[in-house]
Amino acid sequence: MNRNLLLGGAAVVGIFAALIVFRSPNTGGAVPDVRPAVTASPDEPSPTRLHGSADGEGSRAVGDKVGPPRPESVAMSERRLQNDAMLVGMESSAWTLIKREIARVDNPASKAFMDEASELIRGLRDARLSPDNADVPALQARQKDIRDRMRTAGVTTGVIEEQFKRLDDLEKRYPLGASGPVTTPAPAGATPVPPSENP
Amino acid sequence: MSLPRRAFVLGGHLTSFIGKKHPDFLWKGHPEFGQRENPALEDYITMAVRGALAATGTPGELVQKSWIGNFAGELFNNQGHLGAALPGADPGLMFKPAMRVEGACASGGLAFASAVESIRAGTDITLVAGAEVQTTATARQGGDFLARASHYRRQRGLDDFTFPALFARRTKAIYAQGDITEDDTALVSVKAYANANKNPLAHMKAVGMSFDTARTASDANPAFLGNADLAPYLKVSDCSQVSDGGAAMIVVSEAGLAKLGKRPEDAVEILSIEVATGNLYEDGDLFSMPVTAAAAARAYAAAGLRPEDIQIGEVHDCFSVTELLIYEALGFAAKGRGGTLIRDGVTQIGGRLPINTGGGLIGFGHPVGATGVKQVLEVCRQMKGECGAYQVPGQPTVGITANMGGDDKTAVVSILRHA
Repeated sequence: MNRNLLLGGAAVVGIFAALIVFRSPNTGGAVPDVRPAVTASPDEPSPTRLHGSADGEGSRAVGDKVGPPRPESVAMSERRLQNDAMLVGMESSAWTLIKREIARVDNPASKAFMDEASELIRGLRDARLSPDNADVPALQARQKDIRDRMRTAGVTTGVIEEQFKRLDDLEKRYPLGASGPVTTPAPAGATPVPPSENP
Repeated sequence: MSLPRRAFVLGGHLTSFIGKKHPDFLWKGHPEFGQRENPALEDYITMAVRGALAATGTPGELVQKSWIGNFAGELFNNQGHLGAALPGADPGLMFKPAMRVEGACASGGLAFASAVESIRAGTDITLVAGAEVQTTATARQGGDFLARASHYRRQRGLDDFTFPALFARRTKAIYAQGDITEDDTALVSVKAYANANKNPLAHMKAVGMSFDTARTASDANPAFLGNADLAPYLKVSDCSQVSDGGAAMIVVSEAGLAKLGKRPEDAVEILSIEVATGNLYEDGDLFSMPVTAAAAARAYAAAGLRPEDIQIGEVHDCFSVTELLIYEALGFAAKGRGGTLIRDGVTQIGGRLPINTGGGLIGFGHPVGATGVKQVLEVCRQMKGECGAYQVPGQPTVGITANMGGDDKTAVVSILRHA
C-alpha cells in the first residue's frame, strides 16, 4: 500500500515537473492585423518617399493611395510602347539565346562573338529603357553586321538561324519609322490574351 | 544545369490569393459568412490545373507527367498524398506519373525544376502545380506549422512566430551594420502594397500602405514578436501574407509545342534553372543569402547571362529585408547595397529593373506551395503583356525568378526569355 502511494506521488510530481519544464514559451499575445484603416482616406494624404535619399532630401512625395499614375510615368509607358523601343526589347531576347548558343559552337571565333553579343545586348537593353537616347537604326545595322560575320565564320547552329529569322520577323512586326503605340497584330496562329484575372 | 533540350513555359493559371483583409475571404463579420465557405485545398488545385489546361489549350490526355508543390497539407488541411489529387482535377491525368514536391517555401520552384529536368530527359508535355491553404489555422498554430521549415528542435523556441523571429534577427544585425536602414525595408513594403493594389488577383489588393505606417511600429502596424530582443526589428507590414491560393502551368519541349500546335513565340523559354541547398541544422550568415547566390551564379552561367542582362524579376520577399538581400544575391547590387535599388526607384514598375510587380509575397500573397509557380507565371505574364494595370511599360524580354525555402536553405533560380 505504502509503495503504491509512493509511486502515485512520484507520478504526480513527475507530471508537474514536466509541465514546468516543457511549457510553451511565453512570447506575447495574439498577433494583431494591419488595420484596414491603413488604407488612408484620399482626404488625408500621407507623403511617401519613393525616390531620393533616406533623409528625404531630393525625395518625391506620393500619396498613400494608388491614385492616377504620374504624368512622367504615363509618358514613359507610352514611349516604351513605340515600335523602336518594343523592337529593341524583343531583339535583346533573341540575342540572349543566340549568345548562349554561340558558346556551344566549337569555333575559335566563338569567344569574340560572345563578347560582341554581350555588348550588343547591353546596347539593346539601354535602348529599350531610353529609346530617345539611343541610335536604334545604328543598332539594327550592327546586328546585321554581326550576323553576316557569324555566318562567314561558321559560328551558327539551327537555333541561331531560327533566331536570325526571328529578328527578321521582328523588324517587320515593329517597323521603324512607324509612330504611335504598337498596333501590329500578333503573329498568325497566336491567340491574343487580353489582360484579365485569369492569365 | 544547361539545357541541351530547350524547355518552355507555355502558360498557366493563377487563382486569386486570399486570406485576411481580402474582400472575398470569409470570416465571422463577412456578410456572406454562413452562406458559403472559403475554397479548400482541393478546390485550389482543381481551379489552377483546369485553368492551366484551358488557358494553354492542352488536353489533359497529352500531359505525360505532373508535379505539385505543397509544404504542409498534412498540418493545415489534414491532407497529404497530393500527387494523387491531380487526376481529380482532370481525368486525362489518370494513370500518369504525378508526385508532390516539398521544399518549404521553395516547393513550387522545386516542382518547376523537376519538370524541367524531365523535359531535358525526354518528356514533352508536363504540368506543374502548386497550392496551399493556410487560413484553416490560427496565427499561432500557423506559426508553429511553418516553423517545421526551420530546424524545429533548435529554433522553435526563438518565438511563437519562428520565421518572423529568424528574419528579425537578420534585420537587427543588418540595421546595426548600417548599410540597410528602416527606410529601405519600409520602402519594400510600400512598393509591395502599391503594386498589389493594381493587381486584381492579389491578397492585399484592397489594403494601402503608407511609408509612415510601414516605417514605424504602431497600433496600426504592430511589432508583434514576443521575443523582446527581436521585436523592434519586424512589424506586420514587413511580413508576407498567410494566403490561400493555387497556380499551375504547362512546361513543354519544342516537340511538345508542336504536339499542341504552338510555336516558340507562343511560349516563354527557360534558359536555365538551378537549385541550391544549405544545411538545415546550422545558422547561416545573417548578412547575405549564399544559397540563393549559389543558385543564381549557376543559373547565370548556364544561361550565358549576367545580372545586368535581366529586365524583370520575381524574388522571394518573405520579409521586407529578404527582398533587399536577394537583390544582392542575384548580383543586382553589391553586398550591403541592396537598399540603394529600392531607394532610387530602380525596382519599381517604371524602373530600370522592376521586381515583384504584382506585389510579391508581401502584397500578392504567399500560399507557400504555389509561390514558386506564381513567380514564373508572373514573369511570363509580364513578357506577354498580360498584366493590365501593373504591366511594365515596353514588355520585358529577359527575366529571373528566385524562390527560397526556409532561411536561405533551399533556393531555386530560373532565367526566362520571351521566345
